[in-house]
Amino acid sequence: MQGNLVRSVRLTGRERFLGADELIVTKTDLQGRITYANRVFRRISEYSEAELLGAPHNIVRHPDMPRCVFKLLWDTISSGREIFAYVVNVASNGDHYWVLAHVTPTFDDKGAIIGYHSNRRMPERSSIDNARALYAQLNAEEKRHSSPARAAEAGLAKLNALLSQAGQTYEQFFFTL
Amino acid sequence: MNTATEGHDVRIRELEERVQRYETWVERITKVCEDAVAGELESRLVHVDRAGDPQLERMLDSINNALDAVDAYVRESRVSLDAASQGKFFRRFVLKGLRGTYRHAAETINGASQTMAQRTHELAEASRCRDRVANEFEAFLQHVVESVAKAAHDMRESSAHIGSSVDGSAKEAVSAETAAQQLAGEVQSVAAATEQLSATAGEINRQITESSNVARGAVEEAQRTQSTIGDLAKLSQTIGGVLRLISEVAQQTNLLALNATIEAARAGEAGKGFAVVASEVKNLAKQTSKSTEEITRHINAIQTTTKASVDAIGRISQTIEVISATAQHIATNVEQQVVATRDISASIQRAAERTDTVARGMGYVSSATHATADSISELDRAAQSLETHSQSLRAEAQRFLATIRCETSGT
Repeated sequence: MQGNLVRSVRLTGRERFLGADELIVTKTDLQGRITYANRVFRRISEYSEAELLGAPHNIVRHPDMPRCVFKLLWDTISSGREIFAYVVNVASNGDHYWVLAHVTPTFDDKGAIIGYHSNRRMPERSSIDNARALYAQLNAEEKRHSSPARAAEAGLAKLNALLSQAGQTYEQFFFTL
Repeated sequence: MNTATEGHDVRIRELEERVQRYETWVERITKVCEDAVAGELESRLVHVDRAGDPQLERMLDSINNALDAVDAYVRESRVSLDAASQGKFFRRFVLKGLRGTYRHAAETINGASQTMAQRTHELAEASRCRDRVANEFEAFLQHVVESVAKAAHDMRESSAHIGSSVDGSAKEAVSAETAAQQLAGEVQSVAAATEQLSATAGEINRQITESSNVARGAVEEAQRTQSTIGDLAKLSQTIGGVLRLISEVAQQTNLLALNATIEAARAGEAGKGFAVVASEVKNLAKQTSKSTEEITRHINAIQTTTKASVDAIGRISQTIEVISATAQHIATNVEQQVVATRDISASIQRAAERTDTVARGMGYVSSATHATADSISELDRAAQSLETHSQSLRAEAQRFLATIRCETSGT
């Protein structure tokens, strides 16, 4: 149902910008359903708190984002590690905005993952350009596969190939973007 | 009046509802704040848009924002310091979105992280340097230990080799000594035998001299016998001469008797007695002649026998002389043999003395060989000790290297 909602958004091509000191904060449960969304997020995404709470986080997903980035994101955080990613999101009115997303698992006293937390900050312009170029490459790879799962695998393989070519881990690679 | 009263009532209801909402939110706020104080930073105030009061809503957002700032700071500090502890210094505290004290504190952490990175780099450099030194030392030590071990090994092999040679020499020396002793004994036997041979030769010489003397006596005796027989021959010849004289006397007597007979015949009767005497004389003359002939025959036989005896004695004498000469020759040869035997005896005596010298020399060789074997044992022990020391040197050096490489013991 929420997936339909994402697809129903008509892209305007207009970009919105996060303030330099602003922080988008969201929390989700283990399934990625939003349990908390701060005011900055509600404002830039133009969704009400009622619309967001309980909704899947991909409510703001932009079609330009490669599937493999989210696969990598979920693979990483579900194994208990943090991840940084440049992400372009789409607001309810079809405008888009770039964020530097930092997603971390939340642990209970016993060290079990009980949810995820995401802080999003304003990215550097140059980083956005680099990310956009990289994602174009990954998307091109993914478009060669009809199955979404297959496409995500292929995109990830491409990303890993680029990483090993550069002799870097994703973390190192990310901070050079 | 009624309108005014109703207006008041509505206002009071509104205020009561507002107070109720505030009380509800105050309760939630209290809960969230208590969670935050307890370190539970997950709690947030949600559904703030249902607060229905912009002022309240702004307050709730502000509380959430304060919690988000603390949450962000805590997450960042935890992750960035964790990364730094793993040496991932590229993972810095992300300052963006943080303000005021949070930002200053984050900058302090990043400064510390930077220093840590620098120190780690220096430490790694020092560690590489130390490892290089350790590796060089290890290679050098390895070389030394291997050289020493090889030398010790070679030494042991050589000493084992010499040892076996010495064992062989010792055995050889012992057998040589034994052989020399045996030889000395045999030489002694030969010397004794030679001595005996010499004595026997002397005895033979003496007996030959004696037999030679006997032969000489025999020859002299033979010569005397020959001369006696020669005298006998001469005597027979003399007897022959006497017999011829007697034979002539007998013939003359016979002739005179014949003449007397004739004269007697002529004297007839008167002559008859005379004639008998003449006839008797005639018979005697005949008998004498006959005896003389017989004696002559015997004398001839004696002379023949005597001649044969003389010849025989001459031949015996010659034979004895040959024997004597031969005995003399033998005596000379035996004399030479005795001299030669004495020479041999002296040589053998000298050989015996030298054999003794050889035996003594072999004894020295044997004891020297034993001493050498002892020295070789010591050498082998020294080489073993060298090997042990080189091994403990290696072990000690390995521990030293492990220590300077900061390897934990047992790995």
